[in-house]
Amino acid sequence: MERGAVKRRTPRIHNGIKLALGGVCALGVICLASSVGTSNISAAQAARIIASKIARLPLGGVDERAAAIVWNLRLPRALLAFVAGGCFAASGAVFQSVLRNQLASPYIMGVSSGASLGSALVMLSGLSLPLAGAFTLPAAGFAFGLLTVLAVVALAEKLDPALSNNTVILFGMVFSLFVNAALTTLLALFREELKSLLVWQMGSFSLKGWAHVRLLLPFCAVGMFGVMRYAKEMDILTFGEEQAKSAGVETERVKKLLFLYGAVLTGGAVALSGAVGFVDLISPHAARKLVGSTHRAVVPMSFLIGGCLLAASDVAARTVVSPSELPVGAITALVGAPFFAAVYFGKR
Amino acid sequence: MKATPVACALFPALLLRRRAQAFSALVLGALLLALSGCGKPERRTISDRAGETATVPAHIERIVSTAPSNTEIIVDLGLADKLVAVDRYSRGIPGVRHDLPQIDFFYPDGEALISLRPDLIIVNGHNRTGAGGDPFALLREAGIAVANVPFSRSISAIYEDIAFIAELLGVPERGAELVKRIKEEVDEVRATGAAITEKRTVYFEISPAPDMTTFGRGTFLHDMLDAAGAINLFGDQSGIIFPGAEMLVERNPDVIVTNVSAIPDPVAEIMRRPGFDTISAVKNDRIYQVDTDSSSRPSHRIILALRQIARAVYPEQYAADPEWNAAR
Repeated sequence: MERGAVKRRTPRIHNGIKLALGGVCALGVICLASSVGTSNISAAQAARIIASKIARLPLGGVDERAAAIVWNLRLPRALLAFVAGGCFAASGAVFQSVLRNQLASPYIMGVSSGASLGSALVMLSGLSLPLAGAFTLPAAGFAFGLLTVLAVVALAEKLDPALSNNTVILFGMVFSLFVNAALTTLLALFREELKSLLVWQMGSFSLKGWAHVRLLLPFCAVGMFGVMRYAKEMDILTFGEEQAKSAGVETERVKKLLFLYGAVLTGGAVALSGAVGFVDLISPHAARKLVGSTHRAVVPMSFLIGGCLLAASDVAARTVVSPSELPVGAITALVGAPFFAAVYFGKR
Repeated sequence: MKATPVACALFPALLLRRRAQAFSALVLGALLLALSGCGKPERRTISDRAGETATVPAHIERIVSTAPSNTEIIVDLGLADKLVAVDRYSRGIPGVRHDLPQIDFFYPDGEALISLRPDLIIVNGHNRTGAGGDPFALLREAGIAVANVPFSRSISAIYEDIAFIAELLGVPERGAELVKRIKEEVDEVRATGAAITEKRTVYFEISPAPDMTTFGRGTFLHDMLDAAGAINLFGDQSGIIFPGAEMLVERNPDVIVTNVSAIPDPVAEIMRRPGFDTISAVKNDRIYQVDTDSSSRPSHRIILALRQIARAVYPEQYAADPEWNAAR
């Protein structure tokens, strides 16, 4: 009996430590991301700038432009990349476990296609929402991304009231292909007007400042809170729907809520950073390798890993071909595909 | 006249024995004929501006132009009435008839092009982007002369483009005159630029945030900055580049010039960017907008943008000259 009790306790402590270590690593990556760049600013100098900015102390003897680079350009960018990567990864973990499919991601539910279509429509109409102003584009991206997921779930439910995974996945794919086709048609008709959509689609954190970070945080908080509330249900869902039902889980309702919260996470991240791929796919696999399959640990671990991955990718995006910048989506895809293969097949 | 096409069409058919083959050859021959007309008189072989060999008619009456830079040259050689179709950007050029058919050269409609019966299509290197090979190969096979005049990478290459097009269209003396006129104006700016001792660095933006596009050496715009006596902030690079915000803050240009016109207020947009308030050009309110068309099309009309750039970078040099347009 005693041995059993010890055994049950061990992984929990273990995971707590692992998560704390992950958090420390994440801080390290963010610090690194704010001190690495094309211009020569030492890590110590960067740390001093950040510290004095946070403490609101005067910047004695530090070059004004170096301060602007670290505080106004690098740090918000690193934070945004980290939070966006975290959102992608956490929602990837949710979709993978709810749909019980290792390749599932929020994108197959049409989040990115919907968001792209929304952005394209805003670019074409020149619409500017009264409250959103310069953020009309991300607002529309988010709204369309979310709407697409809701439409997929609603229509899939019409076809199959039990919301079985295959129906959701297949219908999601068909629907997002359809939305993509609409987008391709728009692109062909309005090539000139939609030139900037390509940049948006590839994803970039270029010139994203503190305003973007502040905007993403509420989505991240709401999404993470919602997802973590159903961590236990996700654990049970992984055993299959029958078991989950017999364990007293209202599978349809829980699934729908999880889709919604997952879509809030990805939708927010896509709207502010563009359709960056692979982070949502890889991070949950890596997280499960580290902390097992308890969702209370997998989701936050995925968040940390995804955040670090995207923040690091962004560093690569802005330094590899200096002085030019690459779209971060290109980096995550280039690094992501082999990384995914390694993580996924390395498990066996 | 009628007998010739039939003989032309039958000739390939006679060479083949099998019926099916003979038939298809006949159809093919007839098709080719319909497209090209058999045996047009007086053709000559030239080497175009991309170094490719092209066979062109000696007398050219019907021209299709696929790029605004070339259209501008054609118009200013006094040959606007010979244009039978242009690309979408050429339509707005003063002197080009508004009712000219407009062809999308990204996905060119071959049938529409052929039915216009052009003697010559003056294409541009950029038509090849994304086309995977020569998108006009089929038209060449159909017997339509195609000459390539790619975007030039220096001012002197633009002179050569003008001379080439003028010679091709049978008006070499008008070309020489145009080149002479434009050269005088460029040399005037160049002389002023060369005399400047304290040169200023310039960041020239051709696409706004987030891609923030500029250029290094090997572009006509770099040559223009050079002519004006300005130092290109990215003169150490070559071709089109996408410097990040950090690089711009770090390199700290004295003057920023933008030719962006797709967004409402490009100057204000630059000033609003995070961290840019530390850049000298922003601090000293030295951001200027110049004419988009004359700074993005390598033709003789660059003179407008060249003057605007020179005036923006060294206003004190040109203050006394009221004739010159203020750049702002």
